[in-house]
Parts: sequence; structure tokens; C-alpha cells
Amino acid sequence: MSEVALCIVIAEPVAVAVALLVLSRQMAHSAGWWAAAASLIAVAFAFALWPGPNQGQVPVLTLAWHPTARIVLGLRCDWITHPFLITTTVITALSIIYALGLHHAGHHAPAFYALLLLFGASMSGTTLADNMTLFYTFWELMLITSALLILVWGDASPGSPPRRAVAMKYFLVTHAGSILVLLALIAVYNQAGVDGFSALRNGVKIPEKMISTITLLFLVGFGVKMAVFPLHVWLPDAHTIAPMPVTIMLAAAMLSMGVYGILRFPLSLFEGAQLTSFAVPMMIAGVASEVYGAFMALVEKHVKRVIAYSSVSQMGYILFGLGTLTQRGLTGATLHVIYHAMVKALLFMVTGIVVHATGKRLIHELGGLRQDLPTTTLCAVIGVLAIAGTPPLGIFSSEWMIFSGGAETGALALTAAAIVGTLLTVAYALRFLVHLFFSDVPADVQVRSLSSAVLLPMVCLTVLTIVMGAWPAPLIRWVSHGTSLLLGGLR
Amino acid sequence: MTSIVSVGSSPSPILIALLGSALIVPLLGSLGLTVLKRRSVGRTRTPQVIPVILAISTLSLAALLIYPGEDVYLFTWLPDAGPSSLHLGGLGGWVAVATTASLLVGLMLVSGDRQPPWALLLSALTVANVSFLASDFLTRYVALEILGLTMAVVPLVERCPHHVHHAKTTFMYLRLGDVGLLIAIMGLMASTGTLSIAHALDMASRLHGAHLRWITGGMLTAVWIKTAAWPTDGWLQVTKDLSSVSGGWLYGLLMPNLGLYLLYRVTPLVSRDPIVSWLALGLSGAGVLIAVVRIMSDLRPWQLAVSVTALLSYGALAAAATGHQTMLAWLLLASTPLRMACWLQSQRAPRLTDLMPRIPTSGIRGKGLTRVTEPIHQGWDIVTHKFVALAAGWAARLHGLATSVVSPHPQSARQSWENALPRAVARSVLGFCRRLQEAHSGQLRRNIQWATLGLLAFLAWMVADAW
Repeated sequence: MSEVALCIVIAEPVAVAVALLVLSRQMAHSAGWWAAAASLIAVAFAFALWPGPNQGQVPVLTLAWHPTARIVLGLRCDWITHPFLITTTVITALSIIYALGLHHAGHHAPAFYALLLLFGASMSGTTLADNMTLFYTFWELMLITSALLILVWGDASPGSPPRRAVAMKYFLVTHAGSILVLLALIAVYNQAGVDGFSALRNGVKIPEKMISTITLLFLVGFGVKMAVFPLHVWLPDAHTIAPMPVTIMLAAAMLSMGVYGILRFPLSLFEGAQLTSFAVPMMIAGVASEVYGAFMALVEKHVKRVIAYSSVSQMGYILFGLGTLTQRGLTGATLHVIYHAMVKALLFMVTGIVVHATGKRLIHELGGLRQDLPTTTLCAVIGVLAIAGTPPLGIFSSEWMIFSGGAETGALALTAAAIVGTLLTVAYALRFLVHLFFSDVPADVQVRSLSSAVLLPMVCLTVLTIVMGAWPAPLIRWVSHGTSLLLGGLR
Repeated sequence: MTSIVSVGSSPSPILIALLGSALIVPLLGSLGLTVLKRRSVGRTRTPQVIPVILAISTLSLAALLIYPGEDVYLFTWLPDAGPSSLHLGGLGGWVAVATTASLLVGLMLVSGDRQPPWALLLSALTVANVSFLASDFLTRYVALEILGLTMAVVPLVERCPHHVHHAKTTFMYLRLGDVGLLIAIMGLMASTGTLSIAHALDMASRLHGAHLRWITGGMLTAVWIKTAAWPTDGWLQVTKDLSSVSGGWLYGLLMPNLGLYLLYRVTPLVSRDPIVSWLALGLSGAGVLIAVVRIMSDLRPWQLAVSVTALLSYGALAAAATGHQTMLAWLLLASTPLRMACWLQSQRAPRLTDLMPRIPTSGIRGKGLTRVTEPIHQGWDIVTHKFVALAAGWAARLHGLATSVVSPHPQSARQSWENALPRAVARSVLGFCRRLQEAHSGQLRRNIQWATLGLLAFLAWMVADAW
């Protein structure tokens, strides 16, 4: 059953996407519903994979593709994979349901939903891939589908940067990061002689001086995808111009693929002692990204850019946690990926509703929306408190673990800097909330009515944020299974 | 350990019942008021259930004092942090009784006045009492954060003048204090391996040097802000626009009491390190001087109450610096009813505000003492308001530079350079770019390809060199 689920999680959305493209005329009106159903089925099968790792039976599918080069295509769902798989599939499903309410795609709905499904499937494939060839294939598919979505359906309103230029910038910058990842993968393959992760997990001999180069390539390459400062340059424009469901998938799911890459490669391949020289630089880079992103979010005027820069800041927390190279820090970072995905999707949904309902995008043009959008206001309050790390909402527990990991390394000054940085997060989050919902109402704001399909995923995420924050223990135990396998079994 | 209440080795039903009525009854009252939508704000009559709830809570807390030294394990919230627990008896229990009783007394004294949001106040009472009784740092920290949030919501619900600004100010200031506390907790956890307050502080008393200073520094920052010591008393200034009970009890008494109790717990650490000890003494001395100057120069009733609260915290800090923990405990307990009276009096005398405006006292003014404090006021204003905007401006410039490197638009790239750099530097950089542009494709947007190629070449060289 688990092996079948492994296949269906990827194959089923791809099959529906192909059907939508081929039968676009016949499915023009029902494309969104087909896509939503397909994405929900993928979520169900992603959850169905849970018993495997839990019972010590990791589901694996293999196919010998290039025997002479010892390349065996494989899919595998282990403890590291599963949290990321669930996150990407759930976010994809909620984004598609949200898209249904916004009627984003117009006449080209089948193609739009097909690409959304392919984008989601490529992220699932990236996490499930058990060899480097398949991993990189899905990694690039993720980029191509998302760039196409920005290129074709990006925001073309006056005053926005041209979507062609933004899509090109997004593609070129993130592709540059992908090339670095590819170089590192080739280097590992050359040394190990195999490209299967299972063989790599059993241990490969890589010369010490190569380890540093490979790790650096991986960190910079995956850092571009994570959009940590200063590798974030693609993110603000792409998040602003992309249609809202795509923005949600980019921010809440795709950024986490960079984190998954770091966990899957340098932190799985090498032992803690071999990576010690990267610990402090990663923590410093994490703090820099956290502070820079928060400052930018504090001064941005476009509501989508405020939340976009918040991602740069939040990825800084995650990088800091990864840099601690401790069980607590790594668990905290992985936990932060999950909580950040929920909260960021929630905040972007709130932003999308505000933009859709008012037609305004600049923060000073908006205000007093709490009277016209009470449900959205409530969800925004929860989202803002969560991103500010207020207990008992989720991000608090992940930040707690990240900071305790930092303190465990003895780098108290850096940990203190990261903790002080949280004040900036509070500042920009409050600015966002107060300006949009609690300030005086500008004269020319007219609020349009909303479809319940837009509100449903937002309310679901709000409830998830509260429940998973108030009761984090099962999630922490689930995540820490995976992180205990890293760094050669961890200290 | 999951969500169960266990008490030492033999759970006592009476103790569990007392604990429930002390902590759960106010919470249920708060929920009940919220659900029934009995909005008391603006009314002049207190819901009759409030005094009953407060009396039950006070009596239960007092009865819990007969279980000294008992630990009550609640549940494990974060698996890594151990079980959340409460410690009965000790000063925490006494302060909880005094603070809860103060609310009851305050309620009786202010009948006929504008009613506060009782649902919020009862929630605040529960989390504050949990914080007083908590025997682990995680529970205390979470309770303090939730209390800060509750306090920030009060101005919004009361709809007082500038309520949004007041809510933001309260939340930000109290969060700053929590940041200090979190730094200290992380330092303690890393050096002692436990979150149990008693064990961690006991083990930390054997620490030395920088590690100890991070911990005491963080704790003192938290104490300084929570006791509304100058100049971090911005959140306490909010009281002037709140109802008597919200301003006097929640802001004026409850949060400073939590700060003072925290100081009581960390006194052995503060007095242990001579540098920290002298620093605390110096700060308390300077604080007293400033408070005296402020009292002499500003006789508005609520401002006097702010200064009196601050004076007490400076005294407590001096006691902590010299290791007089018992004196601090007495100071905290004895001053609780006095401060409550002081706050209620100041809140009940808004008419005096017209009669007693800001009066500069000629003697002090003549000696220029208020002028001495003026630059400090301005400096703090720069740090709290202007620095953030300034730093954000620099971050924006940095972003401009970063964007221009990969911007596919010649115009926007040029604009970014011009915005980010001084004019002369920007001109020379742009001149260089123009020459580069002419030398290559004639379009600046192609630069990204050259930059990428250059980066790849550099990386290839690095990899080749490593091989």
C-alpha cells in the first residue's frame, strides 16, 4: 500500500494536469474543481505514507534507468521527507481551493490549474526522490512550472514591474542557484560513483578538502531557493507579481525546498565534525537575513512585498537553526518550515483577500478593514501574532528550539542577536495589521464581496495555526525522528 | 507525561480543587463573560459575578499557602523542555494572594467609575498567577507573553483615546522585556541544562564571567522594563487614558509586581558578580535622581504614580544589588496595597489634572537638573523611533544595491544605484557601467548574463583548484 501511495502522490496530479491540458476545451469550466480534487487526493495519499516510517518500514520504489552509470531512479519516503511532503501537498491543495474563489485564470483556467498541479507535484517529487538524477529533474521542473505561471498569469496592473522581466529574473537567479546545486551533485557523484541516496547514506569517502567545496556549493545553491539575504533578489518581485495562489505556493512551500536540500545533502552526507567550520557563518548569515528581511518589511509600501520580505526574515531563523548543527536547532528549523508554511500561506491569503476586495495594493491606501472584513481581520490577527512568535501559537515553539540550539553551541552573542531580531518581526507584523485593519478608513476604499472558497482555506489555516501551536508535542516528535538521522546520527 | 495534573507522589483532591478554583474559576469567568457578550466597557455597574470570582480566587490562593514547597506538575507542552509545573508556597504564592486581593479591593473602591473589560482582566489574573507560581522558566515566559498580549488588547477594547497607538506601545515595550528574559533563559538552559527555576538559578550561582553577565543582563533588562523604570516606562504612560481598574491594577500593579518578583528570584545572581552589582547600584541611584527630578517637575497625578512605581523599582534594584533578598520580598509585599491605593487615587483624580498641570519647580529647574535629563530623553527617543526608521532606510539602500546587480531593467538598475550611493560615487559607477555597456551588448540588462558567467567561471576555478 505504501509503495502505491508513493507513486500516486506524484503520478495522480501529473495525470490530472495532463488531462486538463489535453482536454482543455471540455474541462474549461470544471478545471479548478478537478485540480482541487486531485490535490486533495494527493494530500490523502501523502498522509497514507505515514504508517510506513512509523512502523520502521520505509516505502521505496526503484527503477534501473542507466545501469552502466549505476543510476537507479527511486522514490522513498523517510522521516526527513515526510514533514516536507505533507507541507507541500497541503499547501498546494489549499492554494488551488483558494484560486477557485479568486477566479484567477479566466479563459485559460485548465492550463493554469494544470501548471499549479505540476508545480505541486514537482515539489512532492523533489522531496520523495531517492537519487540525484530524479531530485534534480523535479527541482528544475519546479522552477519551470513556477516561472511559466508568473510569466503568463502574473500581475499586469499599471505601476507593477513587467511580468516578463520579473519571470526572467526569477528564472535566471534561481537557475544560477540550481547550477551550483548541480555542480555539487556532480562532485558527489564523481566521488561516490553512485547517485542513489540509499548508497550515499551508507557512507562515502570524500576527501576533506572536497567536503568544504561541496558543502559551500550546496549551501549557496539551496540558499538561493531559500531566498536568504543576499541571495534573495528574485523573491520580492516574484512574490509581488505572481498570481496569489502561486505566491502562496512559492512562499509557503517552495522556499522550504531549499531547507530540504540542505537537510538532505550536506547535513545527511557529512558528519557534524566535518561541517563545524560552516556553523558560525551559517548562524551569522541567518541573523543577517532575519534582520535585513524584517527591516525591509518594515519600510515596504506594497502589502505583498511586506509579507514577501517577511519570508527573507523567516528563512534567516531557519538558516540560524540549521547552522547550530544541534538536534534542537535542526528540529526547530524543520518545525519552523512547517509553521512558517502555514502562517505565510495564511498571511498571503489575507493579503490576497484585501487586494481582491479593495483593488488597492499600497499599505497607505488601505485601512479600517476590520468592519468590512471581520473574518479576514480575525485570521490576520492570528497570523500576525503567530509570525511574531507569540505563544502558544506555533512559531513560538520552533523559535524556542532554534534559539535553545543556538545557546547550546555556546554562541550566546549570536543567539541574543537573533532573539533581539524578533522585535523587528513584531514591529513589521504590527504595522501590517494596524495599517490594514485598525487605522482610519481612507475615503475611497470600496470593499467587494468575497466567495466562500477564498475564506475556507484561510479559516482552515487559522484553525491549524492555533491547534498545532497549542499542541506542538506530536509535531515535534514527528520532526525529531528525521533530524536524529542527520549529521551521521547527530551528537 | 501528558495532560494530567499530578502533585508530588500523592495527589490530593483538596489541593487540586483549590488550584482549580484559584486559576480556573477566573478563566471560566472570563470565557463566560466573553461568550455571553456582557460587555462591561462603558457601563458604570460591575457585573455581580466579578467580586464572587475574585473572592473565590483570593481565598483559594490563600488556602494554597498551607502547602509550602509542593510541586504541581501540569503537563508537558514542549517535549524537550520538561513538564510545566507550579510551585506552591514561597513568596510567589504570597504575591499572588496580595495581587488578587488588590483587584478585589480596587473593585470595591472604584464602584461608579467607568468599567474595565472584565473578561480580559480575569484572563490576565489567571496568567499572572500562573506566572507567580510557575516553577519552570518556560511556563513563566509563556505566561508573561500572554499577559503582555492581554494588556495590549485592553486599550483596544476600552476604545480609549489613541487606543491603537497605546496597544502597539504596550506590546512592543513588554516584548522588549521578554526578549531580555528569553536571552537569560537561553543562557541558563545552555549552562545548566534545566528549565526548573530553582535548579537553574542554583546552578547558575556557580557560573562566572561573560556567561553569567549574559544571564543577569537579560534578567535585569526584563526587570527594568516590567517595573517601568525610566526611560522604558512608555507602556505605563498608557494608564492615563485607561479606566481606573485597568490602569491602576493591570498596568500599575500587576506587571511591576511580576517584574519585582523576577528580580527577587535572580537577586543571588545579581549580587554575585561585582561588576553587575555595581552597575545595578549605579542604575538605581541614577534612576532615583531622575525620578525625584520628574516628581519635582511634573505634578500631574498619574505621572506621580508612574514616578512612585519607578522609585520602588530603583529601591528594589538597590536591594538586589546588595544581596538583600528578604528586604526585597518585604518591599514587594508591603508596597502592593500602597501602590494600588496610589494608582487608584491618581486615576480617580482626573479633575486635578486641570488644577495641577506640569509645574516646573523653580529650584530644580534653576539648577538645570531637568536639562541634564533632557538629552537622555531625546537619546531614548532617537533609539526607539528614529533609529529604526534610519536603519530601515539603510536596509532599503542595501537592497537597492543588491537589486541593481541582477535587475533586468536598465532604468531601474540605474535608479537603484543613484538612490543607494552618494551622487559622486553613483556617477562614477554608472560611468563605468556605461563603458562596460558600450563594450559589450549595449544593453545593461545583459549584464546579468555576464555576471552569471563570471560567477560560474570563478566557481569552476574554485572547484578545479580544490581537485
